[in-house]
Amino acid sequence: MQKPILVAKRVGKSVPLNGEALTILKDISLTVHQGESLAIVGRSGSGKSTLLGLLAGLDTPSSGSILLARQKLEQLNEDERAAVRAQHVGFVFQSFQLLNSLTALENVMLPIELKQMPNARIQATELLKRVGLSHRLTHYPTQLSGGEQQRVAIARAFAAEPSILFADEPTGNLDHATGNMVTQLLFDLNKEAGTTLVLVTHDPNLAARCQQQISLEAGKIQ
Amino acid sequence: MTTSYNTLATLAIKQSWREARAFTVLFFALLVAVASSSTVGFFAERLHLAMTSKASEFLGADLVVSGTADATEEQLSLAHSLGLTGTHTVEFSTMLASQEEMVLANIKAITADYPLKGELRSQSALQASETTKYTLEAGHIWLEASLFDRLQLTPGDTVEVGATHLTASRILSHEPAQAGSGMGAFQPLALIHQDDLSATQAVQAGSRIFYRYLWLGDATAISKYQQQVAPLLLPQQRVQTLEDASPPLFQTLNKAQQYLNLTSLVAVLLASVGIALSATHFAQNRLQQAALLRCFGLSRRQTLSLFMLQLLLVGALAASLGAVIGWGAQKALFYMLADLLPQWIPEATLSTGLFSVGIGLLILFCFALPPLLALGRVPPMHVLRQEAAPLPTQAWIIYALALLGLTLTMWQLSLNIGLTLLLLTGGLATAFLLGVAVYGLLALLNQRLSSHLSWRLSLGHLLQTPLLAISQLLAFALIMLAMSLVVLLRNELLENWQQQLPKDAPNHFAFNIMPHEQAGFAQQLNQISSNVSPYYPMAPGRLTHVNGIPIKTYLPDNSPAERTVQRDLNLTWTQTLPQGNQIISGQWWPSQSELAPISVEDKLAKRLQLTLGDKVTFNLGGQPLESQVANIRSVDWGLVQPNFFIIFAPGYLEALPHTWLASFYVNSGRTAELHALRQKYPAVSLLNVKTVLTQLQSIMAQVSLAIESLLIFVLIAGFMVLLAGIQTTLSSRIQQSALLRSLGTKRSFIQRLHVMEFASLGAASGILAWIATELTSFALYRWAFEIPWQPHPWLCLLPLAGALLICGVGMLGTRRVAVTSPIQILHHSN
Repeated sequence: MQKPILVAKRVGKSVPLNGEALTILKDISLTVHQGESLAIVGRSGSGKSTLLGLLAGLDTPSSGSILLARQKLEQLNEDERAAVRAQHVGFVFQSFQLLNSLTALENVMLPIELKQMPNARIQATELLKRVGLSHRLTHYPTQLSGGEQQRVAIARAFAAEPSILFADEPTGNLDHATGNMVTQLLFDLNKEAGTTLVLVTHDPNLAARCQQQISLEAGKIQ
Repeated sequence: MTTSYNTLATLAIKQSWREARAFTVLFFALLVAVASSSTVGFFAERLHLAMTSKASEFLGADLVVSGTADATEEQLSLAHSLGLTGTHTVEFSTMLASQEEMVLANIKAITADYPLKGELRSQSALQASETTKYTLEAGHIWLEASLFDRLQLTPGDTVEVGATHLTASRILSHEPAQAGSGMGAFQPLALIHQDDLSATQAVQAGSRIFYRYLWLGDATAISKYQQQVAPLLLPQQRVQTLEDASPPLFQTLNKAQQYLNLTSLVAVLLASVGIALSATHFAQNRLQQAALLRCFGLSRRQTLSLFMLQLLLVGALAASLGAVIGWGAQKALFYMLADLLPQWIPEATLSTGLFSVGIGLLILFCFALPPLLALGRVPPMHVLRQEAAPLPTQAWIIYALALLGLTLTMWQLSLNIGLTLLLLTGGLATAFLLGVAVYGLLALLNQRLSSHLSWRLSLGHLLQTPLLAISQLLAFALIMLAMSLVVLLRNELLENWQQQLPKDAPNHFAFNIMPHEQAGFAQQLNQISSNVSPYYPMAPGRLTHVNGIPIKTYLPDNSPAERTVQRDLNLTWTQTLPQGNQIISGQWWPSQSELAPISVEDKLAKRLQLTLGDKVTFNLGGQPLESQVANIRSVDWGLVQPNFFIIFAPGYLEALPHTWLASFYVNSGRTAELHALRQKYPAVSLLNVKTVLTQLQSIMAQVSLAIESLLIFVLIAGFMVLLAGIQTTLSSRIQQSALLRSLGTKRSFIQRLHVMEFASLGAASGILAWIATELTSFALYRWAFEIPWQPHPWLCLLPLAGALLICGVGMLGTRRVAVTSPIQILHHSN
């Protein structure tokens, strides 16, 4: 049995709104083991993205506890959580979030360089070849289609060799066919690298491909 | 995370280069700030050096120790130990005699290296051109033109000087130290070589000799000498520096310097607003990027460092380029002014350039840091949920930082902490009060105009975010305030200076006019002069007693006033207070008085320790006359007009033998008429002070030109800032416009909305600027420039000007919004 890489215990999140506490998430508990995949589904406003942010250490829960790569996130300050992210976490976003001032290759090289790992250019070129974009290395994001941009984003997410990958609606901005292609790529790479995958999606097909699924409604697991 | 700063620096360079467009406004705002402050810095520095060297030409040196006693060994060895270069002159009065005439003249015995600063100019004949080529040799004497006239000599004739004969070889046309010796020395001047001094036998024990030791050296050595020589001075000696030599010139210089600094300060302020606006824009557009980098695991500090590095790169580039432009601009300025300026002007120093770059970087960080800090504080969640805003910070710390930076900059540039604090606190208070007023006005507009669609849409940007609107209004108002203040000061300061020294300011003195000749002389003079001062009678009198005590007993030993009372004073009487004189205490002619009322110049009163009511006895042609101090007055010695230490009330001196004195203006084309006047009234002495005035006028001309050329920089800065302000709202405008156009509105409707919005914003800013300009100009006139203030009705045009200007710049800045097709706009806004 693999060790759990992500454990959430009775996680809750509330924010102050007009003097009152608005509860976004309540009593969320889950466990994900190394190499597994988890899909978080739910309607708009059900708290999916908030949960993803908490699990990835982008924000801290109001209550409960999150263990990510054996680190208790609620006990770490922002910079310590940043260090955990840098070491273990990769991201894929709905709106791709590529830096427009960098080429496709440079976008993929970025996390490798920030981690000061060797051979950034070679690795990034390999990854872009793997996602079928070897002919687009020197193109800027604005010169790429949505599907191509998301493939660059996926290549970038795997570039730093994360142990866990968080994806927020990775196909949300793509058409059906392109979405399928990107999904396939995501799972293929995930399998090859043995990465844990946590994704938020509306797409039941995408959710069905994950080993675990949780469905949120009004901030609670159904 | 072990990300090194090398990686961050590489990324920063790459991003800055690729995103150059995003930095355009910031780059140019900083460029303008540094270019203008360095132009002013370089220009003011060189101008100051040039003017100081000109002023020292007036003195003939950097420092002069003069007096009726020769310099002591200690004084000389002190000067030599400090590495000063020196020369000295010996002056005395003696009769010059030709075969026909005898005239009393002031003889100055000089050495070959005289003067240390400035030049001696001479002519071979009256109509010949001036030249500096000749040096005075032993056996020769150079005489002023009037001496040639009165002695009926032609160059080359022999003159008897005391016990020797010298060749009057050339006409002395310019001698630098003539202004330094003041207008008191009314005798015409002749120069002889010191080798001939003993042969004249004029310097004997007991004869009245005036020694002048001229010293030249670097500023530190000169100021050291000034300090250290003070205790070594004999009572009969005094030290003269540039400030003593020409106070009116220094006042002009200081005001010019203050104005130049103020202009550059205005440019820097404008640039600061531009930098703050564009940095806010830059930071807002980078929030997402910052959040992403945080997701990648960069710490707050690293994230902030990345953007700071970008800013530093762009800043350093803009600031260095600005300094180079500033250097080039002042070079061009001096080139254009070549005719007006002395041939040699000291070079600007590197430190001035570095200082401007420093100022630029300081304002960059003080004004760009607050918005930039938001990038360090952006939560990584922002990348998933854009409503996750940057954490609030201790806002006051940041604003205090910006304020501190501004204070330091203003202090440096205005060189006046009082003025800085006044402007700063005044400015903040005004901004606060006006901000509150505008907030109220916007709230009112919100209520009243919400039913009109076009107003609601056009003012939507302002009304929805009142705080942003206020800051934008204040920024625009500040720009207009700065621009109008510069124009205002330029006009009024120049006018003020011109008034101080009109074009036909007197440039000659006429004295020794006999009473019976006065009417005829005045009539002939009026034909050639457009400006003649009042005629003053002048009678010699010696001060003998103060409050009944003989003056020798009254004065302490070695009193500085000794020289004044050892000789006859020139006394006058007049009913009206002469121009440039101001009563400090007492009354200008009491209605009743037992003794003759007198008015005493303030510095003389101090030297003689005279106060109101003191009784002063004069020996007037052998007869004692007791007078009483009725008032003490200050005298503007800078004015070329008859000035007196002691003035009597009318009715006491008229019976004494006296002559008349006046000053007048003659333009340079009237030499022949002047010559005729001199021929007709040979007893009258005419003294030309033209050179001093020409120099003063040329300096003013330089300053005016400098001021005019600086305006261009300020206007560019203002324009850039306006564009930057509009740029910050561009993306939301594009969205609104795209939406409206996709709903079917015409392009002209959107343009009209923009016109209404910008015009309202401009007019409101104009009103604020109007009020603020009047308040600021009042403070500046009152406390900085000391010139009278009056309201400026033309400033009421500011709201209109503001509406037009903001509208023009706004339409220019948003032209893309209206001409792009809605599809492209929507695509762009995604």
